[in-house]
Amino acid sequence: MEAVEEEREDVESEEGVVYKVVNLTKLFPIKSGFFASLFGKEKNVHAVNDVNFTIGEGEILGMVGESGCGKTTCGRCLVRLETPTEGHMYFGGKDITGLKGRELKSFRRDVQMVFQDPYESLNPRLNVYTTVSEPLVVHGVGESADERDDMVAKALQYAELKPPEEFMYRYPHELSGGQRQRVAIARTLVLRPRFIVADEPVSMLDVSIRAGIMNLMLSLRERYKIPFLFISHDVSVTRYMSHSIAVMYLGYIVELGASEAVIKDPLHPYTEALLSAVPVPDPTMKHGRVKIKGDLPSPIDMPPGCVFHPRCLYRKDICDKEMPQFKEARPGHYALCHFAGELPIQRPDDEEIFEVGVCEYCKATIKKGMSYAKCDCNKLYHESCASQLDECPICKKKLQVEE
Amino acid sequence: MAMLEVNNLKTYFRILKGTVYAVDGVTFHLDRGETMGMVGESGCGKTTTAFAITRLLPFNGEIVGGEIVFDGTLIGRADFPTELAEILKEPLWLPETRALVERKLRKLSGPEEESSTLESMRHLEQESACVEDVNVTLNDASLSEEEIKGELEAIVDDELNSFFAKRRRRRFDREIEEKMADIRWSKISMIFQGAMNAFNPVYKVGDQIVEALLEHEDMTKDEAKERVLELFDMVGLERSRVTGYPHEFSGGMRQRAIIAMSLACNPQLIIADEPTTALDVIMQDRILGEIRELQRELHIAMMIITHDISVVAEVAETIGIMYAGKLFEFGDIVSIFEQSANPYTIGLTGAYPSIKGERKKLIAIPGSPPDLSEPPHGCRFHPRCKFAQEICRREEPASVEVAKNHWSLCHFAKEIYSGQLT
Repeated sequence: MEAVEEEREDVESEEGVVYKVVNLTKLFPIKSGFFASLFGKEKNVHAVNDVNFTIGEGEILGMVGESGCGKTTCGRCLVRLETPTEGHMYFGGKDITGLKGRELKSFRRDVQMVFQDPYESLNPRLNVYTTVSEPLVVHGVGESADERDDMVAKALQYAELKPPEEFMYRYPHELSGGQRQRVAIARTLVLRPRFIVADEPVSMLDVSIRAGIMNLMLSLRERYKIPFLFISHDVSVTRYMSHSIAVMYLGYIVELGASEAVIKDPLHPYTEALLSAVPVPDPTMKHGRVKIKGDLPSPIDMPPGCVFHPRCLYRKDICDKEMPQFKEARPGHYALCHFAGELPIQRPDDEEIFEVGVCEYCKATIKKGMSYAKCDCNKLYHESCASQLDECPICKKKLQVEE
Repeated sequence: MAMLEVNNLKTYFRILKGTVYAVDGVTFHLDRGETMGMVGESGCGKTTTAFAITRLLPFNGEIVGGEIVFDGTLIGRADFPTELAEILKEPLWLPETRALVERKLRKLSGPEEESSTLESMRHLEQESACVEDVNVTLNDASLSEEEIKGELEAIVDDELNSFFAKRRRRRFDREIEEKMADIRWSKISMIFQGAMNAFNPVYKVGDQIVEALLEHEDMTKDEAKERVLELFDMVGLERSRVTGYPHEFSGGMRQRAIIAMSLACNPQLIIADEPTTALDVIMQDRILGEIRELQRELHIAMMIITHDISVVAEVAETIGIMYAGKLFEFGDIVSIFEQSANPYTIGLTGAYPSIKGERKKLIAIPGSPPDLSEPPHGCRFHPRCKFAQEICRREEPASVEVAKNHWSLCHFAKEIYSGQLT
């Protein structure tokens, strides 16, 4: 655990930054009818909002979040499958935000992407050799057919498909899920990329095979120092893979820091809720559940102020008025929260559970230290919920707030 | 007595290429109000087991061995000739046939209550002629083993293909189907895989639940509507949503509506096939919590089928680990997690990352699951097993009870359990 953090520091100090993203924003306009577009306001889906991060040489940045939080769009921007609406992206110091034509093509040689579903990302009519050698043909790499053969064989070997001759002329339907994903990885490796975006590369694979693919990617990073952006909805998988973790919510990075720091000592209330919802593969470990209220708001009508405030347990007056700063609450550990570092956040390893119970009205957790109302029928209510309700909906008695 | 008992269940699919041995000898039981987790990789027979229990198998799927007893009622079994036909294909056919015939004879001569199940006396009697024939052939000392086998094959062939036998079996199927229609949904309900898409998009969600209620319960439409509102309260959906269409619901809400539907007729057992797979972690946690609460309140037994071992660790009391159509380990969840007696379970738990504790290196299980139309000889896990020895390649292991309520399918179950083999 510490080794990982140390490595990360080395990486930063010695080799510098590969990818730097500044204020990246991606909006998708919603098509509206003619009259609506004349009289109404243009609406957008805010997929990625004002995102900043850097990826160092040989670093793996994990990006987690619920579906629809913008993590995939962010990854697609990084390989320029999407053009950002605002902001800049610097790859090796060069601004690649607005690249076009030949320059874009040569940039794409350096960045590659591994897609989620190996059952769909490989063309069923092309054999492994054709699939893996296609990037070489597209980019005109390799002088002769022999040379290309050699490169394909090597790429397959790196992806641990050994012996390569055995796999080269097979078709995707002759391969298992894990082998297909290895072919997809070989396809990205064949151009010797300097950066890889892996979008949920293991979520479609079975458990016993998943660990193999993850270990393969870790060993690739170790051997060739290729930096990764690892996108996943699974927090435990991301923790295993990455040096640092970015937690996304509604298009914003709400927390960013070294992976163990984010997992073991989170700063943002959303990270707290996310971590406490992760199932643990051990029936003897019971951990406190921090439940937040409501559902993910629509990315079309973003909430004012802090994006998380409608669901936040620690909400204060300022939260729905002012957008918080992305501040460094601890060294190298950032959070998008007005009160980062000041909140009594539950850690996954905490033995003690800092909660009183669950509010009957909004189904969210009531933590120790919060003021709440307790009814005679033993139901609990948040102070805010109690003031809204005035009386207990079950036994119809007046609610009294106690400290 | 356990509420659901599955004994040596075998369910095969007939395909053009031959036979897929999807479920091959699965034995487990489930008590009232208990939660069992069925874990395994894709294509290992978890869903087929569930479909065999509810008798929702596709046309080419068939129960070819074993029995399923629910609440003292036999709701699924293979008929005698089919079971015998499968046994005759195996190398150890002779002792197995003897055991089967003995069991059948015992049932025929046994007291009334033992056979007073779905498999009514009439069906047994109709089969009895065939059982008698087989018994006579088996005990004929003048015949050699080869000849016995030939004779038996002839009997089975005759029984499976003759016009009268076919008609009899069709009638038997129909009767079981009728009984099953009563049990399905009112006693055993199911949350299907991809529940998000289980609702018909052109009908209102409330109406679809009303339909299920009217089909199975003796109530008027108004009563049914009232019940749907109650169910919506129970799973935490707004009452006004009853008139909504499925596309107006979010993923989590649809999942809740499906749970409401499965609870509609007060079932004793709910089989949930991947109930939370398509959901996000926070929603998954909520739904699992709700399922658990409802289950405690209403005292419903539950079988959760999932590929995610951590989900099972959160909610279940017993766990069954399936691999390649066989139940590799079954028993109390804490015992299995803390002291597993099966190499596959050890492999699975070792391949799972966690957010708790130190970051451990994950160990993948080499290779991939076998094709179930040609499962490996001997132990089905041996090509991927790190403990595999000569005997594993040769012989199929038997289920060993290593501790109370803890079974493992491995030649070295005891050694692994006691820690002699690591």
